[in-house]
Formats: sequence, structure tokens, C-alpha cells
Amino acid sequence: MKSCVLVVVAVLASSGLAAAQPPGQVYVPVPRPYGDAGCGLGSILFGDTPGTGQVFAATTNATFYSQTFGITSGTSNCVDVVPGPTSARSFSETNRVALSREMARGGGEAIAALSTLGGCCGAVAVGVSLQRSFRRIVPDAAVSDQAFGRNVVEALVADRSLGCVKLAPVAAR
Amino acid sequence: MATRAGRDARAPSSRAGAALLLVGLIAGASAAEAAPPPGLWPRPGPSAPPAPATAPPASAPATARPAPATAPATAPATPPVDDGYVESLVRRARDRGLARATIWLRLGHWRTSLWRSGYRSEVDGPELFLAPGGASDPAAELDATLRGFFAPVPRNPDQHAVCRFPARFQWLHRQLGLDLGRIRVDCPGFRKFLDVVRPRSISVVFSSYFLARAASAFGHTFLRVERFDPLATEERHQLLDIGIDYAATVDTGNAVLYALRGLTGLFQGRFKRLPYYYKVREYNDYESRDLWEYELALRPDQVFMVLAHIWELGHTWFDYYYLTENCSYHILGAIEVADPRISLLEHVRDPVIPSDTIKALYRNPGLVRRVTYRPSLETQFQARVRGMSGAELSAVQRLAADPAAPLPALTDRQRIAVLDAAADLIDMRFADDIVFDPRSEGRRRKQQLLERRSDILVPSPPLEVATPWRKAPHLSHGSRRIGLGVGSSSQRDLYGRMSFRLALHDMADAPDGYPELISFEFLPMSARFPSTGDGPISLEEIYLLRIRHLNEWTRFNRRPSWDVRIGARALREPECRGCVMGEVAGGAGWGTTFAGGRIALVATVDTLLGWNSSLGGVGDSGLRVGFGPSGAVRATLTHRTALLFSGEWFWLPDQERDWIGAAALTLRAGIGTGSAIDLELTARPGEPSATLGWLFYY
Repeated sequence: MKSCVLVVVAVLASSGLAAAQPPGQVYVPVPRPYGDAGCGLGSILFGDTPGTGQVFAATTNATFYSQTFGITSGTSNCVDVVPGPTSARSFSETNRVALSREMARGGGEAIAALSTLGGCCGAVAVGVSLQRSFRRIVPDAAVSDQAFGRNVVEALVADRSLGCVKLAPVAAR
Repeated sequence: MATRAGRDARAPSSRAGAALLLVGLIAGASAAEAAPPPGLWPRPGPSAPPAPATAPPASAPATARPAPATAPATAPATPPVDDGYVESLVRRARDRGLARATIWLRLGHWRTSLWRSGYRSEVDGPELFLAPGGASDPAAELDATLRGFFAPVPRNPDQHAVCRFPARFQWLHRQLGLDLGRIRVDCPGFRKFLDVVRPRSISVVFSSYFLARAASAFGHTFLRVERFDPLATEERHQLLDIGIDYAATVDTGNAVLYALRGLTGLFQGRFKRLPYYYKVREYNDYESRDLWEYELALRPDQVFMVLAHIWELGHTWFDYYYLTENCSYHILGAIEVADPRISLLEHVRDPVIPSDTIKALYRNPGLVRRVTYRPSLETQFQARVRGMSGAELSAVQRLAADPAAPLPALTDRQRIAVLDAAADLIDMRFADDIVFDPRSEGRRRKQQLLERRSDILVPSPPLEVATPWRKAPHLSHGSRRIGLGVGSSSQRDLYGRMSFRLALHDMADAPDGYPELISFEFLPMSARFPSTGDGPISLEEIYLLRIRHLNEWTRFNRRPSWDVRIGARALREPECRGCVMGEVAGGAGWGTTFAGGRIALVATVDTLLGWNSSLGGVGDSGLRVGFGPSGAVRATLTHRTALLFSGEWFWLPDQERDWIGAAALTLRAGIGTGSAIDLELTARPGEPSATLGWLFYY
């Protein structure tokens, strides 16, 4: 934990940007990396036509593939598992159903994975922090998957004690 | 770009090791852990150091080595020096008969078949072959591959043979000791793939039976590639591993078209890569299916071979056959390139059932290193409510209906447990709404409940779910079944009975590895033959499908039980003795278990449509229409012994017969998982009968 705090300080200092943020306002580190469809489970499970393909349907294993998931393409930001703000956001969108549950509970497997993607200090602290921010991250039931993902990343960045170094502002990259 | 800088900084060391790594092996697991996997893939060409003494062929002239270039990918292609090196390699490969080597044939998926001479690749896309006619000529393809490795680098280096066929490259280098100094190509695409996947180990994942969707009824298999992650020290983050799936690219929502095209190979099957968390969310959560993961005991170089081969296959496609060349089949085919001693495809038969492919892993002793279990959302929910008091259970039920319901007289710990269980329940009940409809009731309830939970600023304790080892799919009985027996009926003194079932399981079979409360039979059939040798063999029954799905009715599960069957059977009634009636029947109802699950009971109301031109049916036509109750009771006597009573009765309004019905009592005792003794007493109009037989599962 001690070393982690040092890292955070170093990152903040080196970026110079986060430190310059007006208090109370969170720097949104992610430009729009992908189209409006987002990476939510729904948009990927059944494409544009939710509901089709569910009764007899075809196979689960078949309905939701686009070239996005090709072995050789793999350029979509939705399929990234390398730590960083984009992957943290798309992870949050896709895992929204489970992640929102875990946030309310203050911990869980998806939170631990998210913590890794954010380069945060520890999953336990992330869980506790997200539990506190729950109402801010999910202000109402209809909040979109994209907004959800953005809010999660913002909340992680805003709580500096978490030391989510991989979510450091874009300018630092 | 921190990652970029990091990789460049590491480059010298990875270069130094490149050729060594290629030749063998990535120097064991310890090295792979010490250095991140970029070193897995050698950077061939001038940047590589002179290959070790064992690697270059003695005949390679040292002078032929081209001058080092700083950026191989962009450097202008110098014309290859034609000193006969490549042709000498081709000759050596021919002399050694490499084109008939097991691994080479597996890399091209060339198979022989009974009705065709010579080899033919199962791969249907042209991209896997460099030689014209390579799909049916492994030798020509081998020659073309060797020549391709030493060909000039095209504008897009990813199109170079070394980059398109890294598994072939690895294997041929091991066989022939290629002169790496002559290969001047870097492979940005493949390197990126490796850098994302960072393979450390491979697991075959079995996603359990899902009757709500026809194509998933038999289960599904795919791969999880454990990702090497130096940062994930405290916990393993499986969610961030890579899933590799082979699936049909389906472009129709029409169920009939889907079935026809799926059976006849008219979809393209392709390998896909996606974060494992997609699979977890889809199967574990959205569909509530348990996942079983079988980690393979492969060395790092073998893991590399499999991934490199999947990269090769990722450029192309197979015709997807739902029953034969399906997901499970090609997943096994990809694993087989790891080692010639691993044999998987020879242990599966058509139709390829996913659980059979898991058993094929076990036919290779030591291949499965570890089995892990990932419980579905429903299993997690069951674990949460197990051991709850009546008051707590009622509270869960109330909360799922009204998230604002008061929770009096509960401690904070209980309150947390109850809220957490209710949240799981809502996610199960409203799975579709919550994913797809932002304004739905499900979303609203979930939101309200989670807000309430988040107000209690205490983290929930981790949920422990015991692994139900008996349900592990590799323990299941064989998917096919044949039966032989003797019977006696009021019409014939004694007769023989043969039966066959293509798949999969019924409620009297040994339950290991299968869902406890499901009968799912695909092409069951039986026939009688006279014991005296005279008289014809007569069909008893044949069904395309016969399913009984018992959904245990609890305070949390209000899904109906249901049954359906489509097929034909012989009638024994006096009015139409021996008539074969085609029938479709099905219905829905209620099921439960008690005595700790030892007794299972289901009752449904069914409709029957039957057809035979000689029947006195509705309006003197051959159409029989019936309505009535149907049911079954199963008592589990010992682990593999079950007593099953089933019965049905149909009222036939305004038809020649007033009613038709049947009752059967089956006592079945499993002997291991391979066979069973089966005693069956049946009563039908016109003919009670008894059969004693032996069932063999394979």
C-alpha cells in the first residue's frame, strides 16, 4: 500500500494535468474511442435487433459475432484486456449487469478485474470506494451503458487514494 | 505510449533469446514467467543472432546471410539469393517424408475418408493453402510453404508465409533447422495478437446444457487462454483471460432455415477471440449455465503451437456442420497440433457431442492438469439461500417483488445476505429486460434494490460455492446408448427387443455429469423381433426428439415444467394393431422434488396429435386429437439406481376410441457409467408387456 501511494504521487506529478484539475471536477480521460453502439452486453449479444434469436434461436454462439471478434482483426476497443482507460470503460459497459451488483455489495470478481485494468492499488479499496459512489455512478435505472462505463472510470479517477495509474489522463500518454 | 516504450526496452533481450526460443521451447515455464511472452515469438531475420549450432543446416553457406536491416518490415525487399538453399530444404523435407507427418497433416486438417482416395482438408476457405490444390495435396503444400518462408517480403508483411503460418514455421524449423538469417520479415499482426493473448495455459471450457436454445441443448465448448499478467499478483483474474470460440456465422433469424443450413454445412464456421468476460456474462449470468474448465497440461512451446495454429485458422473458415464438424470438433482439432502423441479427434464420433469431447481429453492420460468450476448466477443464488431461515427466505421473496419492502427484525448481516440474494434473483428473473430495456420493471427493481444495498457500507462476504463434482461433464455416461433385451406381452409369448438412442440422457439413467431433472433424447428408437425366428421385425417407436424438462417449483422458481415429443410409434390397440402412428405431443405443468431430491415428481397437461390413415380419428379422418394429463415420478434408490414411473392419458373427443393411455414402470440399475440393467413394465391399451434388458452407453 505504501509503495502504491508513492506511485500515485509520481504519476500525478509527472502528468501535471490531474493536479491542475479544478477541485471537484473530474477530468474525463477517454475520448470517444468507438461508435455509438458501445460495448454493452446487449449491443453485442444480439446486435441491433434485441429479442430475435432467443426462442429457438439459433445458437447463442452464433448470433453475436461480427468481424470485431476475428482472430486476426481484433482491432475493436471492445475486445481489449490490456490495462488502460479504454479497456476499463468497455469492460464496465459489458459487465454492467454484474458490476453494478458488485458495486452495491462493495466487492467481487468483476471489481477485482476492473481494478487490474485501472492499475489500481487494490481491489478491496476499489470495492469500498465504488460502493460509496454507487448512486453517482448509476443515478437512475435508465442510464445508458456508455454513461455507466464513463461514470465508473470517472469515479475511479476521482478517488485518488485508489491510485488507478492506468486511468491517468490522456495527455500523459 | 508506455507499453510501446516498455516493449522496445525489452527488445534486445528478447532478440538474444529468439532463435533459442524458437528451436525449442520457450525455455520452460520458469522463463516464461520471468520474461513476458513477447519472447515467445522469435523475430526472424537479420535482427536475430546467428542460430545456434544445431539449428542451421550444415550445408548453408555463411556468405548468403544478408546484411542487417534496421526495420525489416519496411526495408526494401532485396532479391533472394538463389543458391539452391530453399530447394535443398524442399528435398530434405521430401526425403524425410514430412508431408505425411502427423503434425503436418493436422496443421492442414487433411483427412482421408472412406469414399474418396487421397487427402482432403476440412478447411473450406482457400486462405490456408499456398499451393494450388493444396487443400488435397499435403506434399505440394509443404513445398510451397518452405518456398514461401524464403520469398520476398510483400508490402504488407502480415501476408508473408512466415506471418500467416507461424505454427508451420515453428514446426518446420524444429524438423529442418531453417536458416533464420535468410528470413527477413517481422510480423506486426501476429506479434500484436501474441501480445494481447500472452498465452500461458489453455483450458477447454464446457458450458453446460441449455434446453431453452436448441443449438445449446447439448452444451458447448470453447477455449480459455490464461493470460500471462505480471501485474495480477494477488488474485488471478480469469475474467481478463482470452476466450477463443469456434462458431457458425449465422445470418438468419429463421429457425427452420437455421436448422437446415446448420445440418448441411451452409454456414461458415470461424474462430473468434474475445475477452473471457464476454463468455462469463453470456453463459454464466445471462443464461445461467455452469462452466467447467479443463486446464491442459501443455508445455509453453505446445501452448504456443496451439495459439499460432489458431492464428492460422483465424484467416479462414470451415463449413459448419451442427452435428459433426461443430464447435467441439474443431476446438479439438486445434489442440491436436500441440503434440503428435495427443490424439483427440479419433476418440469422438458423429454426431460430435460436446461432453464427449471432454471425455476425449481424458483418453490422453495426464492431459488434463486441473478442473475448475465456475457457478452460474442461478447456482450462486442457490448457494446464497441455502441455510437461510424461513424469515430470511420470505424477505428475499418480498424484496424481489418490492425492493422497498421493510426488513424488520433482521441483523445487518442478515440484511446484507437477503439483499444480495434478492439482487441475484432479480437479475435471473429479468435477464432480458435488464440487458435490453432501460425503462423496464426489472431495471427499476434492480436499481432500487442496489441503491438500498449500497447504503449499507459494509462489503458482502465472499460467496463460497462448493464444486458439485458429480456433475462434472467428464463423469457422464456415454452419449449413445444401445439396448438388448427380452420381453413378453399378452400378444406374443416372448420376443427380443433392440433399442438405440443417438443421444443423450433420460431421467432413469445414471445422473453423473447431467442435469438432475432433465430427459433429453435425440433419436431414440426400439424394435421387437420374434424369438422363434419367424415373423417380421416390428418397430416399437422412433422419435426425433423426446424431452421432459422438470423445473422444480419453489418460492423462487415459478417456471413451468414441460415436455415434448416428435416421432412415431406402433399402436397395440385392437382397432389398429400394429399401425404406426406419427405423433406430436407436448404440454406444460408443474414439477417438484422432495426427500432431499430423492423423489422427483412432474405433472403436465398435454395435447396429442396423431396420424395414421387407418385410425378412426376426428370426423372419420386419420387424425387423432387428444387432451389429458401426463406425469412421472422418479425415486432415486441408490446413486445409480432409479425407479421411474410414468403415465399419460388422453381423452379423444368424437373419435372411434374414447381414450388412449399408457403407463410404464422402469427400474434401472447402473453398472459403473458404462452400462445398466433395465427392467420395464408397460401397460397400453390392448397389451401389457414386460422387458428385461441390458443397456450399454458408449
